[in-house]
Amino acid sequence: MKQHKRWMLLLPTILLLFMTGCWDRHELEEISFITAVGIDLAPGNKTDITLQSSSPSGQAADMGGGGGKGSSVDETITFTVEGPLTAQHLGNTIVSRSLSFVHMQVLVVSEEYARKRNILSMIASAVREQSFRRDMLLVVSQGRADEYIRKNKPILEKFTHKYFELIYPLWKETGLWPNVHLHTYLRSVDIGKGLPIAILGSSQDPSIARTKQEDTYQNQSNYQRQLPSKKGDNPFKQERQMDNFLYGKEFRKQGGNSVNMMGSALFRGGRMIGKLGAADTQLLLMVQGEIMRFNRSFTDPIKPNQKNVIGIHFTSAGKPKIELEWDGNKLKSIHETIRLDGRVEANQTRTNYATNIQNLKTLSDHIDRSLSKQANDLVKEIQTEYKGDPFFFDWEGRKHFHYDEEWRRFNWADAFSRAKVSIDVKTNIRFTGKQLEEPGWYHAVNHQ
Amino acid sequence: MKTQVPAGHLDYRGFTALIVFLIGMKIFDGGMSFLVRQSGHGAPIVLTLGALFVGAAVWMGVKMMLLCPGMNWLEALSAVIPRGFVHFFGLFLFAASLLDTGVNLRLQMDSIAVLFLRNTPTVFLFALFCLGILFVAFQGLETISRVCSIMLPYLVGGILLGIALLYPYMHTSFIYPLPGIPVGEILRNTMPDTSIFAEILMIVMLAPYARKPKDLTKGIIRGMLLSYFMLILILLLIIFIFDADGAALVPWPFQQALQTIYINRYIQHLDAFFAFIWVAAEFLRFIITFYVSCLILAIVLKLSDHRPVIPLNIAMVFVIGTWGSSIYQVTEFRTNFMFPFIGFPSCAALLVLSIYGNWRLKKKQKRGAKNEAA
Repeated sequence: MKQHKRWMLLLPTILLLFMTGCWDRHELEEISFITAVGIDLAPGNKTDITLQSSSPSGQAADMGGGGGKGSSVDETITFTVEGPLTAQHLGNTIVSRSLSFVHMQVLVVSEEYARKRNILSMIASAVREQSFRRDMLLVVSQGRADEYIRKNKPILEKFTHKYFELIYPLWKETGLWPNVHLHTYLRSVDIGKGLPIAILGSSQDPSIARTKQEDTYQNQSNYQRQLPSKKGDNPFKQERQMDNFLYGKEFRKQGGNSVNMMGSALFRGGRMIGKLGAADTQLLLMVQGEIMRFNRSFTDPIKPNQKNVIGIHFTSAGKPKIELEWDGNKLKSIHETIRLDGRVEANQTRTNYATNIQNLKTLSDHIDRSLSKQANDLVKEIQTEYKGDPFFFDWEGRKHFHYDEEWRRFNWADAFSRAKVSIDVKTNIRFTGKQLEEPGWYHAVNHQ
Repeated sequence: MKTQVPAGHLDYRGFTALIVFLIGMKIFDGGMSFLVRQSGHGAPIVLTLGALFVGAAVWMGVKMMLLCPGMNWLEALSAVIPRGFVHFFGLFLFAASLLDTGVNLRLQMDSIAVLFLRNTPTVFLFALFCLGILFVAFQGLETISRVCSIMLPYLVGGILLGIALLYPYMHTSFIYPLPGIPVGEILRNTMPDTSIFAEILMIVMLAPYARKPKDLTKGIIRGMLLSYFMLILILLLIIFIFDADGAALVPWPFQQALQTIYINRYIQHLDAFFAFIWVAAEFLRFIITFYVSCLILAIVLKLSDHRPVIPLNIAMVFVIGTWGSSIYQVTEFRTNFMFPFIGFPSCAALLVLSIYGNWRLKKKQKRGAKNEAA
């Protein structure tokens, strides 16, 4: 028994001999981890590949560990090449360490590249590579990808890749960009029925954005330009563009990191066909049933003509209910019911929504109609403009079919574009915040 | 014909563990991707039908062996079927188990090389595994089954953990369209796909080592059920994550799915942990298939001890494993030759010969009882 125990203790030590990795053994000192890759158009039908790499020993030194020289651990290089693997090898003509994709956080593709070329040709060859993983983010930058990577200088983080690691999960809190990894993008492409989406990012300087206001206008789709902004127009349409920056326009800011994530890029296969602003991304995620939490502003239904707004924080109250109506193999209509829980986060209007149940019901009805109208408008616009389905309705549609071949042959994009879609949002306002009325309410009422 | 093998005795836990490592381990190899590529969304149905077919075959086999206590399936068969045929069938089983070890071990080494160790020569990895197998094969069946029993909870726990962590990536609607393929195609595909369970034949060869007959039946039932649930769970998981069309495009979908697990910024890249379980479990799988191939050869050659054939067998495994020049060549050989011409015929033979053996043995027993009475 004693001898048996001795062997048991010795076994892990012996096993260590077999865990050295044989020919693949690398000292940490010898590796530089690529954390971001950028893809841009280059002259002569070539591609600019940007590699941002980080050395683990440098990071350890910066974090108080031993070894390495400390600051400036990121290295960004751009090459003009034919394919991504060539770039990895070319990288090693400059970087003294072996380049590895194992810890890659983000793949950035410039909008120009995504619109003019099929990004799948680049990605499909890369995913074969051993260390290329499917859990990285896919970002389409509204500018050059190398700029997006280079300008990423997070204020609160020491390391650039941590920015993406930390900011990405916040989609759950805001819904301002979609929940997209390379895996989800590739899965959508494999399924081949809907429009795959990617995160929309921007590295444009606010001052540049202001001077390029016209360009931004040109880049907007027709329906975005057609939105009314006049007072007295349909209040739901006004509410859809209420937080203007959420609506695909550059938002003005000063300070902070130069790059951001906001909105979504729509693809057909490997080619980008359009983009959605942040507010529409919230609606998209809501219709997909992916949204968790988000904020939206609404006009006061009781005092509709005043400028002040009510801010509502929404949380998902369960998966949406989707019903499809078929006439044989012809899709007639789609009806979706979305349930949300709401919380009055801000009330500038001084209407009593805290203790007056009737007012609260009026507000709740108004929100239901507004969000339903906004979602229906978005679906209609995507049906007519992009003729495809980024909402995952095909996941329900496939239930109608019995055989794979039948489903593969079925033109879902066409069926979806012709179908009558109705979205019904039902909100339950559960809380009105920890303040019944704004401070000084009695005084203000008496004064009026 | 009877071979004395210093192998010890197995209880039902030992049999359960052996079966799970022989069959359940297919979750890690290209078999899952093959199933989905062949049958699309109908793959779970095909797998279930295959399990039912092999379940029926092994049930008949066990029933036959219970009529001949202390004998393995071949020995029991030789009591009712011409010896020459049994010898020929024994040689077929030996070749099948040797090919199974060599080809599948090679494919596993290739997958390790593609997924983790791209600079390490496959031949070196193969030789390392062969050395390990050679060493353990000399330790005997009881040692192997005990190691499997110890490893089983870690394997099952690891897989359940993987499934739980992958839950956020799953979408159950990807199971549709159902049944995916027409009934005729389902039945046609079930034939080669029974190969996934074909290794159960190796277990019926180990019947004499059961401590009690009940250990054998209990072990086989539990092992088959556990293996089936592991396979069907992982098959559904990869369909829920990739959709059938996507899963068909990746050769090792379970491993690829494990790569996407992200718990938080401190706990990432958990596939390294699963890789350890995977490699250890595969090592045990090939020890079992190799050990049984040695045992069958000893039975066929009427040797009293199987150990002398171990070095020769390992040399043959090495030759078989290093024969193919590329992973595609070996995969094609397995898919186009081993599945239809070895896997399915073995299972079909188990069923047909066991039914015939049962009938003949019962008839013999009745005649014997009548003679005794007379």
